Amino acid sequence: MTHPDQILSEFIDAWNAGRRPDVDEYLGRVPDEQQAELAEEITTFLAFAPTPAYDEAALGALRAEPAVAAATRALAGESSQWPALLPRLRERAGLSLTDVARRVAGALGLAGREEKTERYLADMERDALDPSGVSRRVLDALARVLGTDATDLGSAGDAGGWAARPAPALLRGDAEDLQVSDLEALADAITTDSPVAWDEVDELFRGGR
Amino acid sequence: MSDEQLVVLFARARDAGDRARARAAWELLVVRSHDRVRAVVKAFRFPGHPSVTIPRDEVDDVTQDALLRVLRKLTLRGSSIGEFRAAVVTVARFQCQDHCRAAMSRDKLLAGSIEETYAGEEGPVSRFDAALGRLAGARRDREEAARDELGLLRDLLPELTSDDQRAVLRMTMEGHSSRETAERLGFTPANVDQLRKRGIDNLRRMLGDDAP
Repeated sequence: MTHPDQILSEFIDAWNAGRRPDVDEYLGRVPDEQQAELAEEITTFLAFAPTPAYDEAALGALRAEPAVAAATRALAGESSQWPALLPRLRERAGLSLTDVARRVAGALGLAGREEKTERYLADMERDALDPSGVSRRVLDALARVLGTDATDLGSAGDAGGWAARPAPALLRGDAEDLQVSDLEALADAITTDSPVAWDEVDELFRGGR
Repeated sequence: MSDEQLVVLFARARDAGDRARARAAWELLVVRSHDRVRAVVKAFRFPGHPSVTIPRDEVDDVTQDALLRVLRKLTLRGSSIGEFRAAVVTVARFQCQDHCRAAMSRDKLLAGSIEETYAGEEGPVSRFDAALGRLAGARRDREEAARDELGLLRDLLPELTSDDQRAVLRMTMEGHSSRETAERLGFTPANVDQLRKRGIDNLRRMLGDDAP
């Protein structure tokens, strides 16, 4: 039987040579009671290990990995990470969008407004909702239902869209003092739904954190 | 372009709002980080419960989630490559922990127990992360060290009391094979294997991870 020291060393050599070693193959070569220790040693090595000089074939294979494609897409557009993240979390939890809406509405005290809640949740999954408008209460409730971290969920909404959203214009002084950005903000206000018409669901999903 | 150069390029482009450059750098970093993350996911054992691992049919999903989390979580201003690699591993472990916690919560719910609220607090998976944070914070004060390719490891290596372990690990982290290391340092291959393992075990203890 190969000594466990040698198995760790063989993994290291394979990694450094760019051969893309499979952890399971090496763990399978030690007795069950030694696997946890070898796994930890491999993890510690990986925290410091150099990135191998992958050849073109390896780089091509890596680019084709689904996780690589998804992670690069996350930064490719203006969208948040919610379209990439939310449906998968929901699927993993074994819940339909209707199920999630029912639970979130229940947690937020929105009984009777599950359908509207579901529409907003669908908008989040389609990146049709400004993430900065989604309240912390919604994120907390949604995170609980999906079994994830609310802060992380909020960060996923912000990630990808780097352009700083324009701050609200402050009108001060005379009309001549109005800057172009102030006029644009006024134009936005005219064309945006008035908050006065919003109900509690609108406020929770569009009113901001 | 080296990983170190990519990290600096990404951070500068991101700070300057240059999305095209940042995107290109990020894509390369993801390609180069994929196998590291995937290996950590496969090697993951839930703290205190080494039989709890990531199911093999969920490894790809968790790897993807971890890479997305790296993008969200990393603040790369002034980071050296050593910090980036270690941070990638830490984030991957966080993702695995959250994944297992969520699965456990669902199992409890299906078993009919009282519905539990998943707090999702991002405490350290182990003191590994706390130690990294301390070392990274201290090193950010030393601009000249921020670009050292071995970064965090360089801080820890001098703490190893064995000259032989330091020499072997230094060569290992430079990418040398066990055979090359044995030839260069005058050890047998079995010696190198042993010194690698002992050196890595000592690094784990310094980072605060408890040996199983």
